[in-house]
Amino acid sequence: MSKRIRRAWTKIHIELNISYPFPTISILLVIFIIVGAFSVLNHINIDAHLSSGVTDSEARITHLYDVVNHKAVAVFLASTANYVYVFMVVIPLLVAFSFAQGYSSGLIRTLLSYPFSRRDVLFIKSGTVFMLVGGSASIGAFVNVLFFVPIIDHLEYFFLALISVWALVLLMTAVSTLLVVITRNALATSFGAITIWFLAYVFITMPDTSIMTKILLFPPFAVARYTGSRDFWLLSLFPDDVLLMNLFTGMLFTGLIACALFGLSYIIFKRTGV
Amino acid sequence: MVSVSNISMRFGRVYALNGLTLQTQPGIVGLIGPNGAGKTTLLRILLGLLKPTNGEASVLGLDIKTHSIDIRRRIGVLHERAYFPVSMSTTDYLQQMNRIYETETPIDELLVLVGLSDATDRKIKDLSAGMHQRLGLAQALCGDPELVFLDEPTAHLDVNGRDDIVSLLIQVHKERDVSFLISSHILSELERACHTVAFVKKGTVFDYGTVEELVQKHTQNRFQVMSPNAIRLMDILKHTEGISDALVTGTSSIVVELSPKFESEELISNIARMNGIDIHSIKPTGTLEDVYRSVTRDE
Repeated sequence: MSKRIRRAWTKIHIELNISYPFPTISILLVIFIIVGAFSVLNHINIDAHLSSGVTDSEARITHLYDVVNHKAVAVFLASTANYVYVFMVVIPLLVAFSFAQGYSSGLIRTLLSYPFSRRDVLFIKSGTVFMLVGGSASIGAFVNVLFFVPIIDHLEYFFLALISVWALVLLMTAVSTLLVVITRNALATSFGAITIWFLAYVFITMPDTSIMTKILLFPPFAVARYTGSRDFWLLSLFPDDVLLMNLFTGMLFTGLIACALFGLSYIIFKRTGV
Repeated sequence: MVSVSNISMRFGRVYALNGLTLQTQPGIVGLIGPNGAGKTTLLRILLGLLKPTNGEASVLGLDIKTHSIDIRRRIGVLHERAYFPVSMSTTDYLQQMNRIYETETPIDELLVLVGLSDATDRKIKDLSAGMHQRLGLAQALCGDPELVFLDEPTAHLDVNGRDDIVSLLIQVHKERDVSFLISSHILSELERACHTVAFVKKGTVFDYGTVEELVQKHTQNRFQVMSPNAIRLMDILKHTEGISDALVTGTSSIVVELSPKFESEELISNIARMNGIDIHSIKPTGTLEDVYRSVTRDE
């Protein structure tokens, strides 16, 4: 087992050195912290909540606790929902330049000349994007609610939001990976994937689009709505009574579709010459 | 080492390989042939990068279809356009290679062997073209391979760089008993290094043998003529019956190939004499380049 882990780590280490030279990962993390910080700044007016006529000091502390706790959840959910727009651009670009460009640069051919299977190459390439983007987004969101964490009541909202973020990152990475193995071209992959997600975004704003489709395509919006957040006009596209069961079912389908797309990508990648 | 049986590879309507058959022995084996002959396609099939349309092949006794990863664990590869993680140092890179192949090849010894002992901590992006090729050879040797595939290993190097790499290949073969399968356009270097050569033409092996055998077989009517009026002599010979080829090889030397029915160099002497041209010497000549010209001239 340890040998397998060591082998996997070697492959990931090489992938990080080849495709993500310094300061790529740092920049990625900074992007998510900055976007998250925007969410904090958008919710920072605590004083307005405290000026609600509460004079008793004990009641005031309780009120402050409620306000900060509510704000922490709102900040976190707002940042995870805002990240959707970053994902729509960053994931296609990362997959395109770390994977698709490898076809023209000779990287894929070189990797497949080592004792790596095609499955290794596909999943290390896509998996690294998935882990880096999902990890950076999670860290970025946490950094921005770091000071609120000790007094947060609704931890389940945080975990729910994180699951929705990782589910969406998985689906977006799978779509981009499929485009890579079909087109083998960085430009086609990046533009193709960005266009697909732009169209998906437009699609969920249409009146006839079912709630399950909306949850499946953009789970972070649905989670934000489930928690009662009304910070985005887009969230009004989701009904007030989004059920937890619907959320989990939608995210399960997000994951299943992503896995199916990865499977299809693997079959195509395995059958085509390099 | 490599056994290929009736391999075909079709891209759309074009056959890159057309029933190619080849058996190589341990040693340094060269693959020569014109552009598009199928040399690189053959190497990629042997590596499992391409799946052949028909035919079978094995490397080190292992079937390429079922044991591709096992094969790649036992061989080394240097592609024509090798990709390196440029932000890594040479030592770090080779250590990673050791981990990939699960070997413990001493990196210091390897760097000394390929002549990169002064560049142990240098970033790969700071290496020259020649040093890149040496590093490529070092990474190909990391897994302690029995066989190394080299695709145009000296394509972007100057004459000295090419000589160094060829000397290095010969040295590695002698010291470590590593066999090489080299695809190259630089025939002079193959002539120096290779024990046997396979001439690939139109997707098949046109001929296979030692360099001496191929030269003997394909250049027996070829003569080098030294003359102060070599260019004029060549112009005359080009329009003479019985001369199938004539080309300039220096200011006072030309190479002339006679048609099969004229086997004596006296034809050249007679023509020169009739035209008042002095000839210093006529002697049989033959190199791998001459073989290449002879074989590809009919295309």
